[in-house]
Amino acid sequence: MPRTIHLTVNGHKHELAVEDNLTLASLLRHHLGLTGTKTGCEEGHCGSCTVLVNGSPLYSCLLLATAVDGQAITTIEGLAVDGKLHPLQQAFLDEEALQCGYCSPGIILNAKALLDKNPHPTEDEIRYSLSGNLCRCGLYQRIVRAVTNAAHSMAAKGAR
Amino acid sequence: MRQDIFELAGKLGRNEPFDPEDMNSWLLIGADNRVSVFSGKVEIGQGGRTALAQIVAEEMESPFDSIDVYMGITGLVPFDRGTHGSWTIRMMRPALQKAAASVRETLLLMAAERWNLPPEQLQARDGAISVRGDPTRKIAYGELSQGKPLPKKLTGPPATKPVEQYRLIGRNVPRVDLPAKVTGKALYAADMKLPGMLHGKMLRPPSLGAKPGQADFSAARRQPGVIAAIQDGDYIGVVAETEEQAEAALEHIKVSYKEPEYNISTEQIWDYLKANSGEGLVIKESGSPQHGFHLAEKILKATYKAAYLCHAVIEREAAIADVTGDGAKIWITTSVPFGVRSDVALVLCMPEAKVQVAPTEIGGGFGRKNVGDAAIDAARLSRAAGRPVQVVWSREEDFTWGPYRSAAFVEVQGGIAKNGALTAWEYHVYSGPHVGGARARYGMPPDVKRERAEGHGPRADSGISRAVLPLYNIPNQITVAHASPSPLRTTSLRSLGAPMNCFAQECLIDELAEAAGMDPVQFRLSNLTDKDTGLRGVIEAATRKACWKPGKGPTGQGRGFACSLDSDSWIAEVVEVEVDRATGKVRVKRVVAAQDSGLVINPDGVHSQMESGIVMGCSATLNEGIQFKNGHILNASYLDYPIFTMMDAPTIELVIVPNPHMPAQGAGEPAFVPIPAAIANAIYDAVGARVRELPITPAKVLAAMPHHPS
Ligand code: FES
Ligand code: FES
Repeated sequence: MPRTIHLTVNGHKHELAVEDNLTLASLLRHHLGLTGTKTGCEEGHCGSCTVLVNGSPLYSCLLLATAVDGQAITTIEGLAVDGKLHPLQQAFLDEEALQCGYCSPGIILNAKALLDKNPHPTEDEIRYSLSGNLCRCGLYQRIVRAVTNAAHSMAAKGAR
Repeated sequence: MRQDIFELAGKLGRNEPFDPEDMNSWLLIGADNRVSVFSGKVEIGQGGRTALAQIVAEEMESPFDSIDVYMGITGLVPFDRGTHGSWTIRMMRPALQKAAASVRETLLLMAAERWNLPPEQLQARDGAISVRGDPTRKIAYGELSQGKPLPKKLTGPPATKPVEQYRLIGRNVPRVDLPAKVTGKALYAADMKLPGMLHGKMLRPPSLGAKPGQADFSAARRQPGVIAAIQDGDYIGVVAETEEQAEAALEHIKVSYKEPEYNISTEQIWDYLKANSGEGLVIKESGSPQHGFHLAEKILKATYKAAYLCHAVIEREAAIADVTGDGAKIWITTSVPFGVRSDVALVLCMPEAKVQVAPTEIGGGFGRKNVGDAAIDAARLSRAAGRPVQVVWSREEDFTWGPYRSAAFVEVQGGIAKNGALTAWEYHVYSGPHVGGARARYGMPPDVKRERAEGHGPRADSGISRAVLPLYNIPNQITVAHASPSPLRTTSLRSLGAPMNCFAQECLIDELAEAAGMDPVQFRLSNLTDKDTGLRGVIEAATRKACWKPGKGPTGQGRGFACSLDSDSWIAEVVEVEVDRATGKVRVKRVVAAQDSGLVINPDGVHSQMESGIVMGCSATLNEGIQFKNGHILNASYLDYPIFTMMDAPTIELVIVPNPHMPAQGAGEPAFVPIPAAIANAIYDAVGARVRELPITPAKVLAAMPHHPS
């Protein structure tokens, strides 16, 4: 039986009728058309489906849609404001910290959660926080650099 | 919109076949002065789209922003075998450079005729032809072309621009594909949605090679949302309105399987490869190996082994097919759109001309996308359902049913004289195939003719013998490649057999250096001739950057060196590791690499590829190996096949050895190649453990440690 839930996704309110077994990843991708959230494994191992739930990074493939009723979700599509890229997105471009880009949405969101909590992370803290996000293109060194640079530029602008 | 992509050929007035000698096959200048570039390569994350635009803009004297690159769309671009083997630049640069130069020269002649001026008085600048010394007199390329193919006016090959005048090539032009990827706008195959699209799922056999009997779909067809259920030989699948419904319906298919006898598992693969390979193909023989070993003061002999590797790219296999009475349209994550076209044509018994294939955005390949499995699935299911069908494999399916890089096994011996000079070398590699054959293993009728035309075959698999020849000056040597069938499905994976060959060669070289009482780097340099400047250059650059010093014996910290020639690029790497003596756990701390790839189009792109290859190489060396038993893959998840994470990845320092007058060579694969050997050599330096089998697990390190109780 479908159940009605309420969600705020990237600032927009939605009322949705969902099946009990629908994951948040499927809801975002198939029902809301937000395909920026990737699903590399659907079993909680790769991190590509990471979204922010009330600001915390979670694997959306492991979450049932019904379990996030009433919560605020941020996906990669919600990061740029008025067409202006988030400093993390900009830093990923500047450092070219991606090749195929399949891991990037999840990594950028996870990094955002990190910087929101800890605006000046050390390299070790970045590596530790992002270790649940796999990048098969192996650009980890660039990703660390991009996150570090984004932290600097956010601090300089006082942005969050 | 991507679904309209097949209308482009008609709109642009393009018709197959495209003669590669004709500039119009590659380039078209619109009346609006935009330049369309047509290439059969795909953007697979390697930055090809940007680099090809750089090459064309440079040679044509067009603004970079005016270039649109169309990649891999069948019917629109010239035929191409696929985006693999680090060939994007190596192959496309000569073709596009020549086409772009021809276009520029032709436009110059056209303007000269129009103005009735000698062509020498004209110049090509910034997308227009102008009169030298009178910049007000100019005409845009698009005005000359009127959006049409250019007439043939050149009598000989066009003059190309001197390297010294390059302003775009050699610069880090930002990649054009990245903004859509960091904002979530890029559409990969699983992200696309066509009107009326359904979802397909395949019923997988209980074990590899199991044959189904006749399936009973009566219950499955009654499940909610189910539109069609089919059996096509060994192939069984279901189509439903949603993915979840298709998945659920699979459980209601009744079918029994006949499982073959399995008598081979991970541990027996080496014996299998040796027992099943023929006498082999002599790749090189010179001098008299027998005499060379006779002359040697010391002879060392060893065997090296490597497990099956999985590509494990984060994007799962995915495609959409829309099969109608008129033909088939395929959108797929692939590096071989033309291969997919013939495969789909074969499966649907349709002429190739009726099948159109467009690559979507691609979530990584490294060889995984050299087959078009999901297109085969989707095409069969769409034909049955009469509507577009999307197929996305599960992660477990990807790990289990996708092709791997073959396991391999090497027997090698080398001899040295008293002064440390190599006198003799004998090398035998045994391996399953790297190229071809993978298609036949996915419910496809074998296409023997095509495989032969592509140079595949059990005897001469170019993947097995990749980077197989010793790099050093050895007067007496023989190298033999033995091709065996593979019990598991295989295809190529980044640099194919090269890392295995380099592992065996460069580990034995280290062992020989020790036997000679020499520093491993000195030993290598002393066994090169004066002509080996490319290799010498990268060895010196890497060791200088890494401040290489002869080691001081086992300290738990180690450095290792290895080098290779792959994709026509020279590569040398120094690796630093830390080994925990109690657990055998290895951490790669730092990798320093020097590469000579000839002319570099986009230096940051080369750096990126090198970093990528190094991390994948480290991951493969320490963590990766497919395990199988009784027809089951035992580690079909990222948990059990743990690729490197951010925590594992080393610090990387790179040097590009400048060589702008050499043609541009391959840069996507070489940096992977020396990593296994360099890590193994570093582990030996750190704790005295010589491990000769990949992956190098902690247990193998412990077992190989001197004074280990075992
Ligand atoms: S898709 Fe959720 S962790 Fe991999
Ligand atoms: S950029 Fe390809 S997986 Fe990270």
